[in-house]
Amino acid sequence: MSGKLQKFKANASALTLAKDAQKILMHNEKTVQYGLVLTKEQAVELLETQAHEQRYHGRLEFGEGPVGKLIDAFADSPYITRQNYADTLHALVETFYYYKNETEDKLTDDELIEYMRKFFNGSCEGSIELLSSRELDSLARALRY
Amino acid sequence: MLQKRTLLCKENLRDSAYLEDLLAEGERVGALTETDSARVQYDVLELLQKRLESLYGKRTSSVPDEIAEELMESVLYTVSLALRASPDPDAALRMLCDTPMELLYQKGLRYCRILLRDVRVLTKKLQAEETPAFNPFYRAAIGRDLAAFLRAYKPDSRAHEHSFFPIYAVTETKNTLSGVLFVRDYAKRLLAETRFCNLFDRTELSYVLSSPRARGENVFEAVLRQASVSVLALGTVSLRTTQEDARFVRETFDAREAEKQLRNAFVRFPFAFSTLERLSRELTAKSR
Repeated sequence: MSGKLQKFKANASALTLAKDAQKILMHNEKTVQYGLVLTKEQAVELLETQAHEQRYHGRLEFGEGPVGKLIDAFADSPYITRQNYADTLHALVETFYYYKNETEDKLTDDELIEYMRKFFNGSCEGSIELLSSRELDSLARALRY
Repeated sequence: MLQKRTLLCKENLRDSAYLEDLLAEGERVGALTETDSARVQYDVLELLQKRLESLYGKRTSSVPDEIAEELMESVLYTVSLALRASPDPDAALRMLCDTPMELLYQKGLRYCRILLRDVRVLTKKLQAEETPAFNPFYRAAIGRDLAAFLRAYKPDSRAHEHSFFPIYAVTETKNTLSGVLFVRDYAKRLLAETRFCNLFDRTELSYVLSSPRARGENVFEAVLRQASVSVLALGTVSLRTTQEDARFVRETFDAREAEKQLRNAFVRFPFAFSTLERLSRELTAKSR
C-alpha cells in the first residue's frame, strides 16, 4: 500500500474524531432507557479503538462504522450493565474487526453483528471470550471451508 | 510585457500527485495553514467514504485498505483534473479551498468524460487517416488498442488507470501522465505523426514503409528520415531519394548544420524537432 491513504487519515484524524464522536453520542438518546450512557471521553476512546483496529486489520471505514450498530444491537442485552458498558463495547469492536477479516467479508456488517448478538445473549451468556474463541471462530471456519 | 506572477511554483506540481503537491506547495509559500490542509484532506476522505458507501454500502461499513487506496487514487485523479483546468496553480489552490469537494469531484468527472470523448474522436480520425504502414504494432494501436481502452476505462472507480499498453511507441510519450490524460496525449501524438506521413504521395509512402527496416520502427520516424535525406541532398521535401543521396548527406554535412537545415524545412512541425535532433546525428558521419 502506498501510504497516501494513511497519510490523509493521520492528517485529518482530529477533525474526523470530533465529528464521529458527536454521532456516537446521539445513540445515548436510545440507550438511556436501558440505563446506558456514554460520555464524550468514552465515545472518543471507542473511536480510537475503532481506528486502531482498522489500522491493525488494514481497513478503511466509511459511514458511521460499526460502533453505532453495535450500540443499537447490544443495548438491550441482559448481560450489559452501566458498569461494563464501555468496556464491552471496546471488546465488541475488536471482535467485530477481527471476524470481519476472518470471515473474508462474506458476511455483511449487519449479519455479523446479528450473529454476535445472538451468541452473546444466548450460548455465551455475556462472555466475550466464548463469543470470540468458540462461536465466531466456528462460524468463520465454516464460512471459509 | 506584463506577466502574471504566481505564488505557487508550477514545476513543483507533479502530474501523478497534483492535489497533494498543491497542498504541500500552498503550505510552503504560506498560502495555506496546516489546519486548512488537514481540512482539505478530511474533505477528500469524506468524499472517498461517500464513494465507498455508494459502491459497497449495502454490504459493509468498511473495506480492506487496498480497495480504499485504489478508489482514493481514482478520486484524487478526478479532483485533480478539475483543479488542473484552473488558469494557474494559485487559482487551483483557491478552488481547492473554496469549492466543496463533491462539486470538484463532479467537475473532474465531467472533464474526464470530455477527455474520453476526445480520445473517441481521435481514434475515429486515426482509423480514417491510417497510413499504409506494414508495422503490425502501429496498426494494432489504431485498430485494437485504443478501442480496447475505450471499452475498459472506468472513470467512476479507476480514473487514474489507463489500462492501455500499446506495443507501438510514439516518438515522444509523456510518461508522467496517467489515466485518460495519458491516452489522449498518445492519440494526439499518433494522429500528428500520421498526418505528417500522409502529406506525402501515397505510393511513395507505401514504398518507404514496406522496407524491412520500416516494418519494425516508428512509422513517422521512418518517413521523417527519408524526407530529411531529401531535404539535405535535393533541397526538396519528398520521399524520392536514393542511396547516393544518403551517402552525399553523410559525406557533406555535420550534425549541427543538418539539424539547422532540417528545423528550417520542418518548421511547421515542432513536435518533430526532438526526432530531427537524433536523426541529424544518425544521418551524418561527422559529429558535433
